[in-house]
Order: sequence, then structure tokens, then C-alpha cells
Amino acid sequence: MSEYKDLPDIKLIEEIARFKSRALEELYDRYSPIVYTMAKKIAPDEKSAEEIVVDVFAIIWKRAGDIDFTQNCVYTWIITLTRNKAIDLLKRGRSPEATLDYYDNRYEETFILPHISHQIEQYDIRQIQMNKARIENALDKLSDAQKYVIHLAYYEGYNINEISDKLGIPKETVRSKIYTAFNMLHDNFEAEL
Amino acid sequence: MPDQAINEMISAFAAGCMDKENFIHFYDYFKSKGDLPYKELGQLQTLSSMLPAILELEYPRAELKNKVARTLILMQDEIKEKIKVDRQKTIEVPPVKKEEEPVKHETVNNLNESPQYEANIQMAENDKGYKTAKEPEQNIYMNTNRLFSENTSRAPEPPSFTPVWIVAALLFMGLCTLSYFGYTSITELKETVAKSESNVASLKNELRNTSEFINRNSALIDFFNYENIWSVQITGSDPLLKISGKLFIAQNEKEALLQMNNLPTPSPEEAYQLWIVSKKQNISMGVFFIEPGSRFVKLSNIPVVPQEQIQQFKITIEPRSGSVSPTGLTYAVGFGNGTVPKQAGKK
Repeated sequence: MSEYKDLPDIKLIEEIARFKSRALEELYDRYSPIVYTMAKKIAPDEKSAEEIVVDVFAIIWKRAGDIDFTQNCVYTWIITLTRNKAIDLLKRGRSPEATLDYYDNRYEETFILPHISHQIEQYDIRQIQMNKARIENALDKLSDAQKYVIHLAYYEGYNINEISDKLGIPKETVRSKIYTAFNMLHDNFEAEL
Repeated sequence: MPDQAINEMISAFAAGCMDKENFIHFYDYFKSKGDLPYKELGQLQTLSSMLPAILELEYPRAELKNKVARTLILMQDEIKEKIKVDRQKTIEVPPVKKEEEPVKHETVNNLNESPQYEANIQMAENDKGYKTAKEPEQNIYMNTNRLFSENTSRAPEPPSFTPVWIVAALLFMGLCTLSYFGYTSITELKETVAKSESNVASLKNELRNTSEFINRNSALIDFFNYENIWSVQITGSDPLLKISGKLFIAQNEKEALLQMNNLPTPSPEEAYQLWIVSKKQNISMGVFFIEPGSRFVKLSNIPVVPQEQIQQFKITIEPRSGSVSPTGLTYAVGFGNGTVPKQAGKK
């Protein structure tokens, strides 16, 4: 295990891509708390949250070799994967069965696997943990309405149309609110330096 | 598209709140490396992934790790199959290579570059020196001695060096011949390698083109694998424009594929919209844009209307965001039961 302990995320994922189970174990030790916390926040119950954790690591094991992580960020990829997986489970729970898409490889590739910009900055989970206070402060400076819209989109999995219906405001306003909220979050985060 | 609209779109994508249809459009565009502010998108994706970092961390129970491990063990067969398929893909790629780029290529490389080759050359050079300088002389000397001893009846003669020169000359000629053949063989091999390399390059090129073709047309290939596809002939309303096309519908999959010829490019503020006319009502099948150089448009999540209730399909020009009911000119029509319309009229 120790041989992987000090490896940065990107090296670790390269080892996982070579099906080194010890590397995955190290990644699990690093990421399972945040993956589980997120899953628990989104999923309706603890059992579903655990299911999400298992699925996320199974996807990482199966798919790590298919992703070019030199043009990606392991942290963002795993968090986005967890979010997509959890939201998918949540939506499946609240939509009528007839409208659900069949979950197969193609569905997973399109809707579950993250599609990350190749111009993303590389962050390690340890760097993110060190920036926790900075992120908190940046979020605190958003208005309650902005925080709520982000919450509905990110943790509740509502799309623009659904948020518009839920809040009784036009779609255009929802779009612009999300854009403004993220913009402000970005500016606040930069200002916290 | 104005910057504001793009920024709103990438924010919605990063927040994961695009509706399905827009997401699919964006995903296709993203996958095809369309023109997007990737740096800004990357920043937004980083930001959204930072959101959970402020949550109070909870640790999963220890047994969950074992559950993950058990799942991975159960996946072994799937992984093996995946590795096998990946390997097969890499092996299948250059099928001709096996025949046309045979051992020659590697052998010549080895011959020219490997330490073994250099060692062989060294040995050969040593051999040359040994044979030309020492062995022949010794042998000749022995032979001449023997000759002398056998021909005892002859008057003793002073030892002659003529045979030594003859043998040396023969050896020299032999070496020259060997060198010549060695040189020509290497030249031939080099030519073969050059030819093989050019073959490989052209095969790679062909392969790249094939891959690009498959990538470009994978949506079509996938579509035509569906069952119960039915088609409708589309005819232009204005005969001068010579618009024609075909609409393929896979209702079970809620997908349609539209192939259009000579459909004019709309202005940047406009787009085409496909409609189903059923029971005198217009139902939108979606807004579409014909990319330059592309003849096919895939429409997903189309409304399910029983075939027998479809009276007509029509394509109208509408504002880029689409309309609730047709407002613009009808450019083309098709009839629900798959027959070709005799005469299509304008709206």
C-alpha cells in the first residue's frame, strides 16, 4: 500500500488504469469519505448512498483506462461522476418508470461519465481540502436566492425547466441566475486568495 | 451565438442542469470539439466540483470497502472481456500488416541497429582478418610441405610462394563477392523496408480515414440498427429549390433521422423545425440545423404519435429557439403513410 500512498491522484489513476488493485484501494481511502458524503446528501437513504459509492468505484475501475487524465482533473472527474450517478438514481426514483432510459454502456458514457473541458486546471484532493475555508467564504458571499438555485441544480438534480416551474420564474431568468451565481462564486473564490 | 448565451449554456452544463435535449446537443458539440470557451468551462467545472468540499465529511462503514472489493471481483470477467476486446481492436486494426510488413522490417532493423548486428559484423571482420592473414598461410605452408615430402624423386627446389598468392587472390575475390552480395542484400532489404513503411503509412492513413468515417457516421450506424424503422419521402414545396429528402423514424427509440438535399442554409436567427400533423394539430418533432457538409440530422426524444394517425410531416422555417406552432414558410412536406406527395403546397 505504501508505494501508492504518496502518489498524486493522477499517478494513482494511471496505476488503476493498469488494473492495480492496491492503487484503487488507496484511491478509495482518499476519496470514499467525500464520495460517500456527497452520495448521502443527494441519495434518498443510506442504502442508496452506499450503492452509489460501490458503483462509482466500479466505474473508476472499469473506465480509468479509457480516459486521458493528462487533459483532465481526477478530482473534478470523480466528484462529477459521483454527482451524476447520485442524481441519476434520484431521478429514477422520482420519474415514472415509462419515461426512464435504459441504463447501458451508451447511457453511462453519455449521461454518467463526466465530460470535462481539456483546459481544466489539475487539482489534487489534498489541495481542495486545503482550500475548504476559501470555498466556504466564496459561497457565503452569494445571495440566498443564488445559493438556492445552485442547490436545486447541483444537489437536487433539477434542470432549468424544472427549476423554472418550481420557482415560478421564466427559464431565461433561471439560466441567467445560474450563470450569475457561478460567475460570482468564481470571482469570490479568486478574491479569497 | 452571443457570448452571454454561450456563457449561460456552459454554466448550466457545469451545474449539471441542462434539460435532456439541450444536453445531447451540447454533448455532441463538445465531443466534436466545437468552438467553446474551454478555459471558462474548465473553471466552472472546477468550481462546481468544489461545492461538496464544504460538506461535513462522513466516513462510510468499513464493510463498504469489502463490498466494493467484492463488486470488483465479480467484475473480473467483464474486465477480462474488455481487455480482450481492446486487444482485439489493436490487433484487428492492421490486418494486412501481418502479411505485408513481415519479419523483414524488424529483421532489417535488427541487422542495422542491434548490438547483435554489430557483434556479428565485428566477428565477421575478425574472421576476415584471421582467414586472410593467418589460416590460409598456415594451410598453404602445410600443403607445400606435404608436396615437397611426397615428390621425393624430384630435385629439391627452393620453396615457391606462387600458390600462396593464388590462394590469397582467390580468397580476396571470394571476399569481394561476399561483400558485394552482402551490400546488395542490405540495399534490397532497405528498399523492402522503405516499401513496407510506405505501405504502413498508407494503411494508417486509410485506417484514420475509416475511423473518421465511422466516428462521423456512428450515429447513423446506431440508428439503422434499430428495429421497426419506417421512412417517409420528403418533397420540397418550391420545385425551383429542388428540395428532397427522406425521414426515417424509429418510434420505439423515439428517434428520427432526417436526410435532406438542397435545403437552403437559414439566416443565423432562424432554424428549421420539423412537425407532425396529426388530427389537424401540429406537434413539434424538434428544431434542427443542417451543418455544412452534412446531410443527416438526428432528432431525439421525438413525440410518439401512432403512424396511422400521422397525416403529414412538414418542415418550416422558425426562429432559432423554435416555435410552439408553425409560423414560418413550409419548405418541405411528407406524408404519414410513407407515400410520396403528389403536390406540396406552401403555407
